[in-house]
Amino acid sequence: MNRRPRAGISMAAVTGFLVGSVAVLSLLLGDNPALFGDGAGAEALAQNLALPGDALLRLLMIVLALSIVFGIANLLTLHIRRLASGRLMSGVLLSSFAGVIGWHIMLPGEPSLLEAIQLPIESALAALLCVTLVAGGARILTRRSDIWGLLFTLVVVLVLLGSLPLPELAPIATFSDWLMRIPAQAGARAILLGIALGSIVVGVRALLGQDRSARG
Amino acid sequence: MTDDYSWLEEPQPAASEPARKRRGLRRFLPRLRRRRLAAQPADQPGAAALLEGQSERPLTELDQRLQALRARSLEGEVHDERQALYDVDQALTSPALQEKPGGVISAVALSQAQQAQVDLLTEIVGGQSDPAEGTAKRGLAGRAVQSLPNIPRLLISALLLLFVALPFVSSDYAPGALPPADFAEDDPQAAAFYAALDSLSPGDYALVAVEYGLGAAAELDALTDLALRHIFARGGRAVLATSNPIAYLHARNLITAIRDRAAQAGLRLVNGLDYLLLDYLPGGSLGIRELNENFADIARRSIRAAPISLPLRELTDMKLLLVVADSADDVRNWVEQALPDAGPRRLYAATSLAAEPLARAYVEGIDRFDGLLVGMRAAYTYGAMLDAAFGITPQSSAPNALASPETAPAGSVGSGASSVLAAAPSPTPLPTATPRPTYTPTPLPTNTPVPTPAPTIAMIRIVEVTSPQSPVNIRVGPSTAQAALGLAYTGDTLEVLDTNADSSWYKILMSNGWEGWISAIVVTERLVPDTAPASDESASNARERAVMSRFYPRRYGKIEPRFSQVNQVPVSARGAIIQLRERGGEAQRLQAMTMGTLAAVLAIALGNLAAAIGALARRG
Repeated sequence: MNRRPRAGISMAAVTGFLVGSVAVLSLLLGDNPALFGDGAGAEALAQNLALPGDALLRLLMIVLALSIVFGIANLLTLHIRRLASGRLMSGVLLSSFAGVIGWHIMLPGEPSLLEAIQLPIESALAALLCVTLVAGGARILTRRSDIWGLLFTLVVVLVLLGSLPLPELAPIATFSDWLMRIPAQAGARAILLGIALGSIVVGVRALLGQDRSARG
Repeated sequence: MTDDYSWLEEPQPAASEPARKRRGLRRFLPRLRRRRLAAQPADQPGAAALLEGQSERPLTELDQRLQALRARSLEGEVHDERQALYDVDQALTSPALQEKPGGVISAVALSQAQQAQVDLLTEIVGGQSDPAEGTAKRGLAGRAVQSLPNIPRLLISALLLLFVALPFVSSDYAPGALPPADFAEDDPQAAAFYAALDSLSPGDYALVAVEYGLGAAAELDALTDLALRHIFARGGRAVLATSNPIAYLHARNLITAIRDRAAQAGLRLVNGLDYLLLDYLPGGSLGIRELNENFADIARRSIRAAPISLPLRELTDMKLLLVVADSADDVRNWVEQALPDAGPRRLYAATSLAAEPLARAYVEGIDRFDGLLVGMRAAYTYGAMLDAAFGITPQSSAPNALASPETAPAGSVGSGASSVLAAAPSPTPLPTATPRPTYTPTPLPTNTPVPTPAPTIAMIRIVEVTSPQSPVNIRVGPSTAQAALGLAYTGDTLEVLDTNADSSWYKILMSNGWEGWISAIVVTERLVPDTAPASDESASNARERAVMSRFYPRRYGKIEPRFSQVNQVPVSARGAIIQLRERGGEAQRLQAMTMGTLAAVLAIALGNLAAAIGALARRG
């Protein structure tokens, strides 16, 4: 197999490894002056070691903020092209964009667009999600008619009933509360543990060049 | 194993098909390109070989379809994806699109060849074809129509709508009890939340992180509004922060609405003193970390030109941290990025119902994460507790609010706002009929009560930007021909150094120590006591100073703003801030939630019962 190394990818991998290593070491050491003993000297050393990590994080902040600007420019360019090729919906997007900018310039601080248009629309979409979830919930056993489907359905119904403020359903509310506090809490903590372990694994893989999510 | 798959992805141009210019409505149709798999280079392994040689995960973890594909490739010892995936290249090559003569998009139908390819792809990936979904059907007149609406879904939607609407029509359809007026017993974390905000003393700062999008505004706005009013009512000062750009705008609107409504009752909430909206924190968790590390500069930058500002240097200047979020990830970001360096300060959260399980795992597992409020029911209890604490008469329920909107005074925000104002004892003159608060900043009276200065306290002249056309320019000299030096916003206050000859321009001190000129047309002058000491603290902490001295020597130099105090809301008037909140339809909304939940239980139970009976019937 003829494998030809690519200079760009190699450079990016080396850069990623170096930057990541410097940032991790800098932040770890800078946040733990006790590693260097007691006294003002140790504190000063830790602070100096933290500088590269802080600087890299700030650089990242700037790049992230700048990427929003690039993203907007890219979006506009794309839709101008699409409009030129006859796609009228891109014109709606562009005119909306210009309208919002113009509105803000003409009426600074006027919140009508956000509060009177976008908020109701997003709230309505969130409410529609409720209908979709209920419709999906009503078909659980249609798609999966086994013991797990039945168990899932029972839990959904019991938790919903337990959330109702009806005194007649107090026993169900007790059981529902137990479900939320014990099994659901256990699952939530497992998820949090998984997130933490996953973050470490992803970080190590990125440092070792196994993951190059940004082609870096 | 190589990771270069580009030869699999790059399409070959169809050389035999010249580009034709489309005319008329045909140009709006999607242009389907013929895609062919690139010829496999001799030195590259095929997809089957990649599967055969894969070693990243155990084979048992692979999807069954991939396992079958791998077995198929091993049987024939093939190393070409076109052999492994029989006929996949033909399936991926689309024949010409068949169109109706009219040429509109809705008239496009799959040709027989295309349908055959869909079936082939379906077979390759092991999926199930469902002819009832996603395909166009032709009516009697030959016109293509979309598939018929899903009848069960329509029924469920109608059931939900009916149940949710009933409480607004009649109080006869309002089952269940409203939340209690005190959650001290059944929810200690909610009680801790209330107690923390209630323990604020005049002048204390509370950081309020508004981290929810507009989709969750209906659920969380009430909690944010109540928390902010609670802070103001106790004499505290709210510092709002967010790493969500939409939430930034929404938080600004929320605080502006509170300020404007308070102004109508003669209460002044001053931007930069009673509250401060920090600039948007880009980068999610990184933005929060930056706030933690660089609090002083973010606060100063957010104040813009106002020298009369909050003497904030570090996150530990906050008495408490409060996060209002619709996602457990946002709670996690604040817990991980802000709490470790917040000293003894404690974190409290208000979340949506969906974010509760993960947020509760944090609140029960982390020492300095103490309180949690969840959803609208908690907001109702919170409001009732605030009403009781500030001696406000509870509003009577108005079950027919929607049915008879004329019962509300024209222009009032809440259906019962005016009655509350009229009924409750008020330390300040309140309007008998509350006009609808507009977002146009209301010109504030110039004779607003100012605390009587102590004899030893010097008075300083300030101007407050009152122009509705905000922002206004601060210029190098007393003329509009001069270059602009900075911006000031409505509500900003600036210390006056001098005036020009005809007093048409004020020479003012900006937050960064610069001197500038602002037109007298856009400001109102006042005298206030100069009570706060000047701060010589340049940065959040020692590390911050070190970083700034290295990277920002010019921008963040030695010049510091003078921190001064202007009038605070008088203690006697603070209850009015609670009183002025919007309460329209609280009870009806909660009852609608109850009815909606009942409808959901009915739909889920009946739907699944029918499915179970059907399944049993099929099995004989």
